Amino acid sequence: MAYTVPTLTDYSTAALEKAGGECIAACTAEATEVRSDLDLKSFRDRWIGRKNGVLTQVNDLWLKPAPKEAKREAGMRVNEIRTAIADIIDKAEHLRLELSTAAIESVDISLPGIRRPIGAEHPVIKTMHEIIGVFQRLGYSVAEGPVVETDYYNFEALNFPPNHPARDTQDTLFIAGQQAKPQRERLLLRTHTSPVQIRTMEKMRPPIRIVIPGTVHRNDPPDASHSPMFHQIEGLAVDKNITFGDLKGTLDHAMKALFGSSVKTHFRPSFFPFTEPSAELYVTCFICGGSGKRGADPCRPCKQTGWIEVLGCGMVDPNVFEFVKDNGYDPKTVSGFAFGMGVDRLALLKYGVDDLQYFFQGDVRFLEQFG
Amino acid sequence: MKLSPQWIRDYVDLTVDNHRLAEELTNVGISVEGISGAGADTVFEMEIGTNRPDAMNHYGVAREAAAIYGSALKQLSALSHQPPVKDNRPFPITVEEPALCPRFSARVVRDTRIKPSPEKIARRLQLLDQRPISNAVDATNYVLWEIGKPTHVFDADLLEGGQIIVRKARAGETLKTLDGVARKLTTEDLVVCDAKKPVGLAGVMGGYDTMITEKTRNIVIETAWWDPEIVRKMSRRHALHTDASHRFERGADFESTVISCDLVAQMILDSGGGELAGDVVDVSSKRMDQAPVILHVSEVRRILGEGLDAGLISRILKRLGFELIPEGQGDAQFRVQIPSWRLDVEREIDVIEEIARLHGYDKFPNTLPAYSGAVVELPHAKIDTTLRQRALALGYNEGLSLTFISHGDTERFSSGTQVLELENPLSEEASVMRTSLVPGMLDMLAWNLNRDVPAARLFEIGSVYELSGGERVEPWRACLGATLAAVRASLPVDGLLDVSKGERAASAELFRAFKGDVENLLEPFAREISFDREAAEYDRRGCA
Repeated sequence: MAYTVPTLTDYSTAALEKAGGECIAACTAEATEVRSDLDLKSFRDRWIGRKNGVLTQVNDLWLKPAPKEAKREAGMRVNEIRTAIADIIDKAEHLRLELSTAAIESVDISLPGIRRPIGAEHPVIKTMHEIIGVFQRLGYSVAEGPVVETDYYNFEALNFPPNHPARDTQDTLFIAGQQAKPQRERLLLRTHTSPVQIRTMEKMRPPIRIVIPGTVHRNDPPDASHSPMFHQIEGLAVDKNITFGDLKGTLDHAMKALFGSSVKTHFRPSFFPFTEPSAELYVTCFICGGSGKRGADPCRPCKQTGWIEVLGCGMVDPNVFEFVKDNGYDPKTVSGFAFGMGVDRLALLKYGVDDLQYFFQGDVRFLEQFG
Repeated sequence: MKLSPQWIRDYVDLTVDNHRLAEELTNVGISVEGISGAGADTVFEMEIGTNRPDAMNHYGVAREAAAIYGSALKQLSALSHQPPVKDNRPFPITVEEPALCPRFSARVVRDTRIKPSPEKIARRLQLLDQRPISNAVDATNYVLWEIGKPTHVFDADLLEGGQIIVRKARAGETLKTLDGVARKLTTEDLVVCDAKKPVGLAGVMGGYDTMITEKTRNIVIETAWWDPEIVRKMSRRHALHTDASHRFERGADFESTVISCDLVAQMILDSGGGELAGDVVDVSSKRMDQAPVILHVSEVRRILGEGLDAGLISRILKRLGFELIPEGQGDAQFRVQIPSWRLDVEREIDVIEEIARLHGYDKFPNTLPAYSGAVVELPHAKIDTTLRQRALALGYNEGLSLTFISHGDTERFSSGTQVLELENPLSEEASVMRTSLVPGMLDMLAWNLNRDVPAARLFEIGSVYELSGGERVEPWRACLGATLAAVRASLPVDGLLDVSKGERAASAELFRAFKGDVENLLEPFAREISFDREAAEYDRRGCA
């Protein structure tokens, strides 16, 4: 029960002493109940609060109504009470400070923090952004195109003639119900991001520098290194006087930016219908550093060759320019290079993941690791 | 495709070992993916592009090796030591479809014996995983792998009327092919026939009834140049993909028909005896000479860069078998004759690629082109970045789900738009392009729950696919998903779930927590966010 100020009827010295003593004792007792900063505040307010505090009440109930002859003694008693209470409150404040400091100081700051989890960007998306960033810093803009494409953009305009064996290499997924349409208008799922080269050249005149991220599909049953859905990044640069040396130099620079300045690049002749000359780019294996070995064991990612295949590229085939000639792409006056790489595969290699399927399952135990 | 380096060395003298040879062939684009075996039994596992059928055989690869090292390539010849031919009645050959068969060559061997092939031949074939059958059949197989020309041998006595006619099949005709399968022919099929019936599917496979047996004494050896498109169509129509059709589809060498017959004849005579009956019969209706290409040195420099002079260009091309004649003034341009085996080289740019690859791609210096254009981002790039950052900060991991869903999924998750169905899907579960990110998200959440991972929070940003007014559209979407355990774990401590109020209240609290995440995510984009229970029955996410 909190202390309440009684009214005084007896102003004898003994009565005053008794009342004063009771008041101070009550304050002392209440001070021991202060356990927190909140308690301290309400304690103070209760005793020395201006409007309704005990001291105010003592003043109003004991001093003011005191008879003339007892006023002096009552006044002295009230001052004593006031001082004593101020002292008790002061001590209580100090004790509180000590206790709370001690509480803080007794905290073991080496204990681990309790963390609110932050999500992780998907490793394939992360790799894609990194690659795009490298090319943006070379002045490349970002473009994109539809996943559901026509035969024209996916094959014909990229120099795959109708009924040509080269089309077989693409394992295309087709949209149903297209038989009635002429072949070039039939819908399919794009097998590479290269169609966007044509779409961009139709909209923009040379010179251009673009990089094209996107989802592509193939009729590949899913396993550790295949998925029917995966991601590619395409690049295209067309201008007057772009040479094969520029293709090599640009990609060599990009590979160093992505994998470190000590990687070397190696270009090997290859074949794509939309580039001539065509090449495959290899970089020094970033797992074994190019030696082909990891300790005494063979290096599996590079199949012991010390090189990893990263992308296909080449000079844009003049036949491709013919499809966009009306927009300023005369193969006799402009030249350009193009490249395309599989992002999921690069992410597998970069992060040392051995099964492509992990990327598409959504298992948080896997995804969390990329934070 | 397997090739034997020992066999390659029959045609070109090489001082390098097999490993070095493999590396240098790969560096000019004739890729050796693997090496197995040792010594004379070494095998190269080759990866040769569809554009280089001329290199899908030992002589073709030897030609490349000769070009790399500047060595002499041995000329192929046969039958130079044969006794003079008797019986000068040429075997009758009629080609009724000259457009589809511009060249047909044949040789006849009489009085020969069928027996197993000599050891050396059999071993070479086995090294390439080819099964030896008899000297005559093996000879055709050997020459196929030698110079890349498919040939066929008939038992001459089983050809009714003693003649060959090349024509389209007639309605109702059938042919039992060498694999024992009886095939119905259509009038689109091009067939090799005797006087009465078809005896071979042109460029694809010979007939069963006229094949070589141990009784055979007289053999007709034939080869031809077939139109690649018709061979491809027949191969598709009859689902017959053979070594022969593979090569004819990609373009065979017009000039090698006679030498192929000669080489096969030589091998049969060497192993089985007998004699040549008459000269080679060579029926050709047109020349297939490739048009010469005018090569400008300035164009070589424009594409490849500086550093290649006319002398170097000329040396490289000559080594490859291209004939060059300088034209005009100085060393500015050449008239280049394309060899008959290189059907993939037709234009100036194709010749330029030959120069680059033989010179060595790595020899070209790396340069960076200058550019001073503006860098443009994708229109939704900023939205993507903001969405992603906020979702990550709210503790959601980024997932990527497959773009296919099932028909059942489309009924539950599309907004009544037309779907895009696949013609050749991988499975029924994956037969339609996704119309919503939700089924994929539910699959991913379920994956976690099924593996005792109760707390999972995921987001995905990607396209969905539908037909809108007949036009295909690919709207960009974001999807947020969380399991109950994850939401519970993410509640702030002071707002602890008061389970004492009952399960209904607890669920309401959990939903509010998730709803709070959605509001947080959408805040930068939407002025007003409303949640509509009617629009989505499967969950309580709504529309902004």
